[in-house]
Amino acid sequence: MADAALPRPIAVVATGEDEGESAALAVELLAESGVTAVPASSVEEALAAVRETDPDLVLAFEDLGGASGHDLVRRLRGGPESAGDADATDTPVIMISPEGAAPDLGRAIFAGADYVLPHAFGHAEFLAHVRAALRRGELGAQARARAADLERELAARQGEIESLRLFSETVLRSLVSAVVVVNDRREVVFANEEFARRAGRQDVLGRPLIGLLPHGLGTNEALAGALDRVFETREPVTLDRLRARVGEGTGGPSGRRVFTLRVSSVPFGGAAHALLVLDDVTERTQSRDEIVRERRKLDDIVQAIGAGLCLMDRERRVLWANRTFAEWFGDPSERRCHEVFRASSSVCENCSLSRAIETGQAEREEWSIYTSGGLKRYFQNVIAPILDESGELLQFLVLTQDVTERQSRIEQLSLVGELGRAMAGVLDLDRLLHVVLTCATAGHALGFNRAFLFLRDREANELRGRMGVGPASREDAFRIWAHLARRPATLHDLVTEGEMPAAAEQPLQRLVAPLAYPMDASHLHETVVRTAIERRPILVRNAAEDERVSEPWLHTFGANEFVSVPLMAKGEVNAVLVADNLYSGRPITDEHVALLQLFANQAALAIENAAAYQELTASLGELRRTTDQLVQAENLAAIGRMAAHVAHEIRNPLVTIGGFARGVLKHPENAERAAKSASIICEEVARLESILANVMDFTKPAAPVFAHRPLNRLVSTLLDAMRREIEAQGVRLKVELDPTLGEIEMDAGQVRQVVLNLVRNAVESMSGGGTLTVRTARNEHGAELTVRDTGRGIEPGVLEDIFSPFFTTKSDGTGLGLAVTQKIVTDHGGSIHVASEPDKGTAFTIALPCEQGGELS
Amino acid sequence: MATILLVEDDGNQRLLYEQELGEEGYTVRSAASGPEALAMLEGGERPDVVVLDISMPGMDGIEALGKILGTDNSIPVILNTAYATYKDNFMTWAADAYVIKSSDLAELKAKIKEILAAGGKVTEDRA
Repeated sequence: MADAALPRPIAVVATGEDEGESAALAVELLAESGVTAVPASSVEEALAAVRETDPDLVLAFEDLGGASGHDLVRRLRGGPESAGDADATDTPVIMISPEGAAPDLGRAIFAGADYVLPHAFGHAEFLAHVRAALRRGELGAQARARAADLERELAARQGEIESLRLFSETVLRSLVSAVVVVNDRREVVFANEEFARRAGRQDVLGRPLIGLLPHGLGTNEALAGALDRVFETREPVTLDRLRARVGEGTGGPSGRRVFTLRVSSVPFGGAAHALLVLDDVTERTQSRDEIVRERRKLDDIVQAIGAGLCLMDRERRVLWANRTFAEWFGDPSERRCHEVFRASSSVCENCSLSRAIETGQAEREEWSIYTSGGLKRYFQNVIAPILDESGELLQFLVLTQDVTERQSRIEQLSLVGELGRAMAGVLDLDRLLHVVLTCATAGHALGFNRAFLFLRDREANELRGRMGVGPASREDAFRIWAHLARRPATLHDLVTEGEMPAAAEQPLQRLVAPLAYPMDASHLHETVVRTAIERRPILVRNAAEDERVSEPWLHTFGANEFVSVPLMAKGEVNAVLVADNLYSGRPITDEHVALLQLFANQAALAIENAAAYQELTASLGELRRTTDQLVQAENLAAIGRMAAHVAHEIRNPLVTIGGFARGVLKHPENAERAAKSASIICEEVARLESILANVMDFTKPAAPVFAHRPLNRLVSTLLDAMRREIEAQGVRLKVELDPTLGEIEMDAGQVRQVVLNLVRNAVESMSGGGTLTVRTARNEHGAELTVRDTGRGIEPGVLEDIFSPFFTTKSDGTGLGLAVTQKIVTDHGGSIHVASEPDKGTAFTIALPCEQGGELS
Repeated sequence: MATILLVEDDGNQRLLYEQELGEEGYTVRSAASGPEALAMLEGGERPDVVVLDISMPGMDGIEALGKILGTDNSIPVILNTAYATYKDNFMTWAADAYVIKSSDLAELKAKIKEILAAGGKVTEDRA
């Protein structure tokens, strides 16, 4: 312990009684050097002083009154005599030799002193030694301090190392893998607990590895080889599928186990060692093997079913696919789901895989693609997510089935229904036939490449080629399919929106139009005739060698495979439909034939209807013409009667006038007679004039009976009733009724007559078809009705006479229509105007007031 | 001179016929209607020939013809009418002649003469 009160440097001066003078001198000299001297007169005292003051220097006189300075030094140096090392110090010691003796350097040094001075030391010598000793002490103290630091550091480092060691030990201990480090003698220098457990003993250090490894592994050649290689090359080695038998009682699964061993080079304690990491991968290997087995089994089963199977990871990447899948979709490896199924580079909207991930349940979806042959194929996917124990998605199993046949069948049946409906509404025969053939060639259900229709002419008992539909060449066909694939139209679209192309635009029409086959026994060699007579479909697979196909037919149509079906309604064949797949070469199956026959029956009914409708229309036309004629005749008869009556009425007065005039001429001199005769003549002439006036009255209609009626409704009802008649003439009817026009006061029957007349005239002027526009409008005075046509028009010279009675340009006309029309309009207080341009059309405009008795300007 | 019974509803024509036939020397008795003519016949008048108009109000000439012949089958009747169409009416075949009125009465006068010359009934060739 340093005494804080004492200023440093401190020197303990150990001197005996005898050394008083020298000691005093020493002390004096020490004081001059600024060194504090602490006297001690015995070994014990000196030791105590050293203990107390921790001096920088010890001055030890040899003669220490009973003891020797050497003893003190020895004690100070911790020699054998010292009681422990309690007094040991490396404080520099200067020994002062006894008086009269030469300094025993050796002994002093041996004892542990640093310097020896003779008893009669010179001042300078003394001081120099003191300085040297102090210096040495300083250095020593520094060294000590450094050593202390180093010790502390070391302690700290050791602490770190210890904790690191503890850490790695803990880690190694807790590893599932068995970890062992061996030296080049294959002896264990380190092992973790797992290894010890496997080894079945805790004391593994130092033991040879062989004996410690589970049975089989230790003697494993591969293991020995691996160790050799690692020691040689320092490169790591991994051994898979090491088999060994694990005994019971080692705390883990026993029996035949499979291991994976990784051996690598590792420095340990300065030399190269081998680190072995051993894992029991039995379950994993088994699982993997099982999965592969199951997968193969599944693959075989699935192959037998003919479905595609693939495995996808979470990112929708195909990990594996079976043969069928690859056949259908190409090699899918590394491609993603949407790339494979939909040739799209982005995930599909409403992706079923996403749904499967969300719900963790299997998902089902149906989809379709167009193949290169222009055929549509349907697939059904079942997506099964494979989850691990924690419910996290591992992979997807996707089962793909080709359901084209089934889907086709469904579509076919619904198609037939749709076709029936589509055909039912079409009453125009040509349009219907076109619809029939379009249905046979469109889409995938019937989807033949070409279709031809032969209609039966009942009178001539022949089958006549009536229509052909389809592409004219392979190139044409592909172009159409490509177009369809890009923008698939539904059958409904094809049937309803399509304008019927002109016959000339259908090249197949030329093929079929000139053909006519009598339906008798002598023409049975023609397929269509046979079909019609036998009333059964005929499927020809090889036309070149089939006796049911004639040479000319094959030459004309060129299809080696085709089908011919009869269209029958009410027990009669009314047409034969022939269809082939000349361009796609798609085989015609019995199912196709059955479906075609089903369709044909419906078509037959539709054709029957259309034909019946045409007959009916024709009959109606006849009837109407006859009726018109009758009416005409009736009119003429009426006029005849009227004319006879008029003649009669006129004749009587004429007889009177003529008679009396002759009388006067015979007796001109008889003035009285002349006067009487003249008077009678005048009377009769007046009578004649009134008769004439009456004749006009004969033709005029009765006076109108007014009531408030809606004009628009009158017009529209009338036009509805006349629509058929109008459209049958090929005239398009446009009706534009002003909704703001309400009721006007009129004689509905007469106004109806007016509209009827104008419409009839208009339709008659458009014998080649055209547009008839009937328009009502409201104006400030009342109503305006316009009947406009696009017919032959009226010559300007004729225009002014058209309202004249008995004026007509029609050979069968009475010429009264427009006269009556004008009369009615005038009776209503209205006006009628006409504008016309030859070959452009005519427009009649009638203005009628809202109320009768009002002014019409 | 022969007596003609004229049946005609038109007053001025009656005057004409009376005048013209009178100038031919016939005695003309006029009736303005069928019933009037019948009344006269029932009253005992026996004309040598009847000139009968067809279009008369009430009883027309055809009916009157039937009734006249019913009264006396032997009286010749000439139908004198402005109608051309009745020629084909079988009823008119009962008459002895069918004359269409004209202003110069030529045909009528000729037929009267013919009938009287034939002494009564003449079956006209209508062909």
